[in-house]
Amino acid sequence: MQHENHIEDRMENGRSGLLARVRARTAQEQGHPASESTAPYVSAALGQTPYVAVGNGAIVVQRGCNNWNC
Amino acid sequence: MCASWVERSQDVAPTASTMLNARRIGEEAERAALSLSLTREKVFESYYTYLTVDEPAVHLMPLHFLPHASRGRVGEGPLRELAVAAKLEYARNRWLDEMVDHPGSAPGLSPAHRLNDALLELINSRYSRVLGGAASACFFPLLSELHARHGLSLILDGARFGGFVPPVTLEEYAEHAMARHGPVRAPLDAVLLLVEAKDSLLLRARSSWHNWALGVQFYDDALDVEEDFRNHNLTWAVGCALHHFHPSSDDLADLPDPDTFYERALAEGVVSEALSHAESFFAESARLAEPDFPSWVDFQRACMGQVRRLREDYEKLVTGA
Repeated sequence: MQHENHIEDRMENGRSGLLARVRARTAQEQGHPASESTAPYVSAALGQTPYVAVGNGAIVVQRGCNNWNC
Repeated sequence: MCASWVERSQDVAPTASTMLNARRIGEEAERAALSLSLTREKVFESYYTYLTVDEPAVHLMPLHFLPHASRGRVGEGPLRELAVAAKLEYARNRWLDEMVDHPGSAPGLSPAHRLNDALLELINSRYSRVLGGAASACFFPLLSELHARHGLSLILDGARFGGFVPPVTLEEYAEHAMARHGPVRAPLDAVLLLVEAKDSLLLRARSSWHNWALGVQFYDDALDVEEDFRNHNLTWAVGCALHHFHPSSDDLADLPDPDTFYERALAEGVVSEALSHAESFFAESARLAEPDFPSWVDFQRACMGQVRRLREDYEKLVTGA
């Protein structure tokens, strides 16, 4: 009986551990700059990078948030 | 279609067509909205929140879809007008979405109608400044059609699911999402009408844009699958995951708890599959944009890379659990 409870605890911890790790990766995607290998242009397009200059003279500038959206 | 009717803009500054400052676009859109008489009302705050969210892909849409061969024919002025219209419409689209997805956020009837009317007038005035008479005759019916289709998509989303999940195929969901994104695409049509683009190029550009929007939709759906389930937003990913719990019935009297739902969505590969679809949509967008819209192609490839990294990370976490 004690052994079965131990297995159940491990399964429960494994499950919550997976969800915690996945949620952390999701939060990273939503709130922080992507990896260095990410082209800065797409990072800006997805709202993650402050200042980017792209080809043809186009300038992408990510502004800071204000008190309504932060 | 109507491209041959278009009167060319008089505001031609060849070297300026390669410059479009996204920051200025955002600021100009904010100034335009703040000029309305409704800014003290609570409903405006909800709209304004979306206006301050930077979306460079929206800000720069007229530049991305100015055909490579036509650069130099359109000056910064018309591009900026269209970009501001794009930004104002994008924020309006998000604001309407919020009222459907979160019914409690809807303000009183009259304030919402008055703000919507004022915004449409503001947006349409920007298009009118750029498009000549003949182009307007072509563009505005098209815009009305996009708005009408968007209206139905909002009604269907507002219907939600309460104990019943209609089967939603990928094709059905994509069609529905395209209607919901539609009005945001209008500046693309405007810039291509402005340069008298051929019908084939116009159709290809539209298809490329919608594939990008679908890619973003599936990317967002994958990130938000847990939240969408809690809010009863029936995205394709939520529907797929739910059918793993009730494969033979649409009757969902007993919904799983959120953690169980999310775990199953990950384990069954639904989240990963949604991201794979996003990659495919971005790839198709890039293919369609070649060779006329090079900056859009670069953007799609970057989107593909970012989504692929996210998918691979999720898959490693799931298989290593």
